[in-house]
Amino acid sequence: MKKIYKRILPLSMIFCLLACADLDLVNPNAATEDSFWQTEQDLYQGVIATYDYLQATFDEGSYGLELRVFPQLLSDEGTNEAPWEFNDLARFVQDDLNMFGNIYTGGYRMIGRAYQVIDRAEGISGSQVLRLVAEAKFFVALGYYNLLTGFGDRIPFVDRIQGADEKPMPATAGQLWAMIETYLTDAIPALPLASEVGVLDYGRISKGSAQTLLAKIYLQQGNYTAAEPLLAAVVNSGQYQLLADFSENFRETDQVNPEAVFHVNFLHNGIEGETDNSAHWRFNSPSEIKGHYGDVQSTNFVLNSFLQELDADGNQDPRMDRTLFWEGSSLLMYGLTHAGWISAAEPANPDVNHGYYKYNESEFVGSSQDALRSDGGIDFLVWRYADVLLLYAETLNQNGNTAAAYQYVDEVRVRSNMSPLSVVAPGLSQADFLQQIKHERLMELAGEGIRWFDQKRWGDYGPSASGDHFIPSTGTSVAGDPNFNDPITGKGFTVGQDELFAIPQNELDLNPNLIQNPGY
Amino acid sequence: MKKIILNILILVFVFGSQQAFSQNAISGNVTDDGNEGLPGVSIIIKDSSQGTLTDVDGNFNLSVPDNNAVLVFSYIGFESQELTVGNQTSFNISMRPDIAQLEEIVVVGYGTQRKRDITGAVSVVDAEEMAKSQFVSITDRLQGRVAGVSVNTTGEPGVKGDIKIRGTAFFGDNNPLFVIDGILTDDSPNLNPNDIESIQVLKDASSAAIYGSRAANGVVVITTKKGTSGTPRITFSSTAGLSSLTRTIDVMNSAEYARISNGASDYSGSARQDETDVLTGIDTDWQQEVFQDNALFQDVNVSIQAGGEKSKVYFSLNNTYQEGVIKGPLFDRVGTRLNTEYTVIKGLTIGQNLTISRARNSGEPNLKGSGGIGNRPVISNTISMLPIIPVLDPSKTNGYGHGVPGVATSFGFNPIGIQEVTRNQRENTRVLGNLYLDYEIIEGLNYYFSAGVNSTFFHNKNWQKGGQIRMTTTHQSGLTEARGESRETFIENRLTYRKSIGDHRFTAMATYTEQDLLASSQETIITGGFDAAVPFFQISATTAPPNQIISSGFEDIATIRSILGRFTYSFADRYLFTANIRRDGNSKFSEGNRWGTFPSISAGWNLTNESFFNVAAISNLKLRVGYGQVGNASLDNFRFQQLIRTASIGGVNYNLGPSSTQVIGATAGDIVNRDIRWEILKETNIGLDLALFDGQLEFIGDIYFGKLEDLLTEVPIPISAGFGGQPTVNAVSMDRNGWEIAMTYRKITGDFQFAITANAFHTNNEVTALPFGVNEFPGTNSISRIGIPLGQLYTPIYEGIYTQGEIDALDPTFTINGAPPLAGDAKYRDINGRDDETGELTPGADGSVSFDDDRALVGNPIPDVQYGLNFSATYKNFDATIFFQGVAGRDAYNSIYDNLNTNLSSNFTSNFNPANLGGTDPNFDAGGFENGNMWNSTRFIENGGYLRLKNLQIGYTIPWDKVSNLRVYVSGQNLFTITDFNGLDPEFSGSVFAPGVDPIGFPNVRILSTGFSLTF
Repeated sequence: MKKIYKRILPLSMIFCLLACADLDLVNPNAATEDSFWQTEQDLYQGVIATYDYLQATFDEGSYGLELRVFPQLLSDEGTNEAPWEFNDLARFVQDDLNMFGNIYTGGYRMIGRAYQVIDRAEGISGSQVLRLVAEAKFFVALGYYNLLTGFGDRIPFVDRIQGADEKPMPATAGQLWAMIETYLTDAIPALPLASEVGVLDYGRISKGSAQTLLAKIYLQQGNYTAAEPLLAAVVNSGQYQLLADFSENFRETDQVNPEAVFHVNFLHNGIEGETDNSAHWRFNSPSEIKGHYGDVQSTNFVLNSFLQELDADGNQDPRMDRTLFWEGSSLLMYGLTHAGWISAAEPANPDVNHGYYKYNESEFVGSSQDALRSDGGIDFLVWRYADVLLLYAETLNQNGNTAAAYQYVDEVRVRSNMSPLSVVAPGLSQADFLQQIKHERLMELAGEGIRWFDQKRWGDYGPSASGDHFIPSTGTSVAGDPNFNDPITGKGFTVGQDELFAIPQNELDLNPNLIQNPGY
Repeated sequence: MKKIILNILILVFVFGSQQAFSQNAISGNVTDDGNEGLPGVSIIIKDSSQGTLTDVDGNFNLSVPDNNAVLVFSYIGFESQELTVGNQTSFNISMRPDIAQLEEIVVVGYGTQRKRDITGAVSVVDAEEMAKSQFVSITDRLQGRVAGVSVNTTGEPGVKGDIKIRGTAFFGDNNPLFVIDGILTDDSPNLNPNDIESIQVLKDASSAAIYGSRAANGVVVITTKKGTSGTPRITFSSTAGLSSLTRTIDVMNSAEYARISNGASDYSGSARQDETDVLTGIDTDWQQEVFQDNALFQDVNVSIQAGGEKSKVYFSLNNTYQEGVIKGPLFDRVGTRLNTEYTVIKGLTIGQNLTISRARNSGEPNLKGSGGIGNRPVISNTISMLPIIPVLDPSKTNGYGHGVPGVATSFGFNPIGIQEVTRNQRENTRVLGNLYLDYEIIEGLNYYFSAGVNSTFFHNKNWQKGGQIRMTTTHQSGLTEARGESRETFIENRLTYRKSIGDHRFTAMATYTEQDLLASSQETIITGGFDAAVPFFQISATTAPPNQIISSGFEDIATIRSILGRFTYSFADRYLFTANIRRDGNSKFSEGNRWGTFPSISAGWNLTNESFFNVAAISNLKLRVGYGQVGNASLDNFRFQQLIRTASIGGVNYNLGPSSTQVIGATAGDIVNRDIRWEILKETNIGLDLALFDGQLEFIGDIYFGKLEDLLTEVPIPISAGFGGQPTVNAVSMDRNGWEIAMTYRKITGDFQFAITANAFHTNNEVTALPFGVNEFPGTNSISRIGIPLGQLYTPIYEGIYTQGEIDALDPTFTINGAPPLAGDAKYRDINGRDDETGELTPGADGSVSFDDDRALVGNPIPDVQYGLNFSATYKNFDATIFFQGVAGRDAYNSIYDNLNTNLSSNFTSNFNPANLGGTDPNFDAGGFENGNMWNSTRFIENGGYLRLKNLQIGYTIPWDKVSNLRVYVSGQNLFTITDFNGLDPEFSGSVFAPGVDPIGFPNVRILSTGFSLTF
């Protein structure tokens, strides 16, 4: 027996000599969700990732493409006259209930990234933490602002980081609006003024950005009372001013733009594989040539509205050729005249007449080069100070202070050599002043994706948009966008349905708690 | 000790010679029961490794240490005999056939069992017959050999076939575990099948459970050749042959193509293509241009088996070279193996098994990066390319013919162009081996230690010249280069105890084993910048700034720790009992889910050993029953961790500042399920072993019932989660059951000897649970639903074409794809109405046929039966083997015909446009896809069964006394196929969710070869 022990003993030594392999391994390729969020710097990187979503394109729809194309196309400022997929969409025909999936995805992705910062900030201390969380809250609010406007109130209620198996309930009416109002109210004090952001951080959220968003959120709900002090704060902050030249807003200047209240930085010719460019310009063209897709064109309603009023010197509104690319345009787009675009279109499409000149990339792409990449580098101004001024004027008017509202409209008009409204149409009634504001906003902001929000909050998002639009300052009327009412072909706006997008069918399939919007 | 070390050194480096230890010389002759000399009989001195083999006449010479030495004579198919040497120096031994081979030892994993003691479903492969196959991989050579093991081979050089044991079980991977000399690995074309001594396949859960979490796809246990005692055997063998395609697709020539194309254009009122309107005389037979019928195949092997009293050595050297039937693909393997064993002292053996091999593969191009042409299969482009396009066309940018819109509209890539402007090469160097020690501590108690390594070093390179080989598409020059290595190390400690007390026999085994993986790779992708005139493509050889450079690196680590044990008990060879248990810990899972326990029990009853059993004709009758649980985890490491996504390129970065300076962001990456667990197979197996007429006729049958639970699959998540990705979830359950029969008849006496082995099997499955909210998984023209087997064919039902009379009789509101059909249009059965509010289709015709609403379950891709049939015979010096393999009762989707006949920009096989041309196939809709004539439908579903002569070999052994064996042979592989399937090869392997749909891979090829083997 002793002999056996003597023999087994050395064996047990062998067992002991073997290092037991560890099953708890550290991933050599990346940090994990559990190990990463430790410091203020980590939160900063999380916020940057949320900003990154602003640039997203295509199936991650954001300001790189979808949040510019869809609002234009689905409002009375944009149409599509080429016989391709967007033609139907501009006429409110959706065969595919996932048509708006990209915008839906983009909204929730932005919110998801922002909540990583908000939720992971618990227990992390540092001088910047409050500001970083405030920025994240701004993004939750921005994401929901876009989603609620497009899809209505009954979208999934998400208020934290989601797990793989969560099936959130639809929000109740007003629930998410209330939540993002609180978020912004919390965020505003923690955010720096635009001048405090610093040149190197140009592009980050300022106090004015958040105040403007909160005001827009109130206005989207028709609450002018709550919006007024916020807009007043932005206007009176001294942080913003109109550029002398309207068109400088739509160029890549490599300068800090004092008119930018909230904008998205884009970079032309950036690192291949990075989503730091926009595809906007490639989709906004009069027709489908030279690698452009011609997906969004301007409506005759916009064109005709520009033709109603001459500037102070009796010339065409100087904003017109900087906004639209049309038959009478004096400028070239990618080296071609308007006639050149039409003749180059193959097959020749007589319906294609004019497109948006705003944000075109002629200065980068040049004249001879075809658009082989969606490589737009011009920063996109989501909200300009001109927008804020006009909103403030509108709010003052709606709150019964029409007289005080004039100066802000004048400021915008005079910058572009239009006679002050206080000169051409003094003493407008509250209703006429609102009607005038609608026209002013179109002239200033057409092609920027603002009109869709405006139509919705004014209650103009429906068949009435196809009717005549009266302009008090000129006393003339302009025919609206016929896409909103097209009973002959069976296309056009369906009341009770097209006010809201369809919630993507694949989302409904995966989350049985949700319900489809009416009509779909 | 010094002497031992010295001896080990000699053993390893000099192949120690047996003469050094010999003392007394004996000799003799071994014959069979017909008094014919038996060559190759093993004569071993018991309790040693010393021994020899008989020569071609049955003679042997051997040195024995003393008169007490016991000689063990053994030969497959004969009963072993033992004999004490005593004073005799000359022996005449007559061997008695043991047809049932009941003493055969079977490697069952972490030990061996006598075949008669086996209680699970373990198949022993006839390694000798398998060695006659020309396939270069082990997997392919298993085809048709084992009931329950299905293999779909391909003709692509160096690409092993698709193997499934008992059918599809998991969605990630259905490759069985290969255990080679105790090392757990996968099969690889790097491994030389000629080194195989024996193969066992552990098919059922009760026998595979000893491999626990990696065994659910079955286990192939391989033992490589060892040295033999006695006269060294040096074998040299060589085979050379030519391979060719077995069939081509009968497509249209230019005139026929033009007739159809013009007819379709005229019918729809659109313009004719210029080059079909006026034929230019070009009539390219693309298949003729691309396929070559003299592709070389060559296989050369040298092996040495030697050994002495204390040492054994096996050495081999192999070169296999195979060209593809299209230019480009190539396989070139150089492999070596050295297996040695040394008995240090009685009871202590040390040894090693090692193979080092290098395999070079050239394949089809797969160039990544923007502007590259990507993966463009030559074969499918060859078939679809238009006959009106010339191979070479000086008027085109690069001189290769390609489509021109409206002139000759084809989206195909010029296949000759693909071959000439692209190159793809892969090189794998593999090191696989172990060092082991076996020590008998006390009688019956053995300790076994093994340390192994399994390493692969790879270097892949793809490049292409820039230019144009396709309509309206120019591609850039580019280069992709990847290097990496993967290293697995193993350690195994095993204690085995064997004990017999009277009629009771016990064995107990306990093992601790662990395994570490460390892998890393780097890849560089460059597009643009290379000059076609510069004859080499290196990362550094760009002559202009590249358009894109992507460089990436990846590391992988994993650990598995296992404890396992087996207990067997038998009483009087009548009642047999085996229990296995294995507990595996795997770093793939989060802490709480890391460990899994995999038990099994099985029992057998040898009725023939019962006193009451008295049927003379039955020499063996055993009933077996077993139950086991085994696991699987076919997913990447760290899938349970949500990773942070951060990278300077392609990351979540933003640009700040007026001139846009990049700032690196970080966010959680794709959403994960932290709770992933093992996938489990729970299976019951019932088997019967029957041997009749002294074992001349053997029969093995098994039936099994299994439940696959917690199968991992990727499921989509609500968009509102705010993350991308599809988490892996244990969410699918399936039932799997089937039967297997194997039968052998042998006649091994007389001049004419032969053996017939046959097997047949069937596996079925049924999906029983799918992830939350999902009630079906779509696949290409296929569907998987609860209550039916995976991947049933699912298309509209095609019912021919409409005549004008039928059109006139139709309800005028009837539509197909939204439009009323016309004469000559395809007729489909109207099955369903639209979706109701719950999203379910309402049954019943609704006067409107649409692709989405009117599909039905139209075919079952699971074969009714799969079979293999091998006939081998010898007559005097001649020998012959005929090997058939086949599948019956299976529906298959002919993707080639579908691709060819559902668009105008490819060539056709069919006879179109009855309205104008009198054909029998639906009218072509040149204007679009408005009438459903181009739909995927039952029109392309064919009988996918086949019977294939896989191998025919005729050999002649030349009697020559200068050598111990010299055999010459001619061989043919895939000589003919009987099938109704019209694709290139009925033996395709579909995907998990579309198993019946031909993915148009590389078809099997016919190889005609001759060869010889010479043993000294």
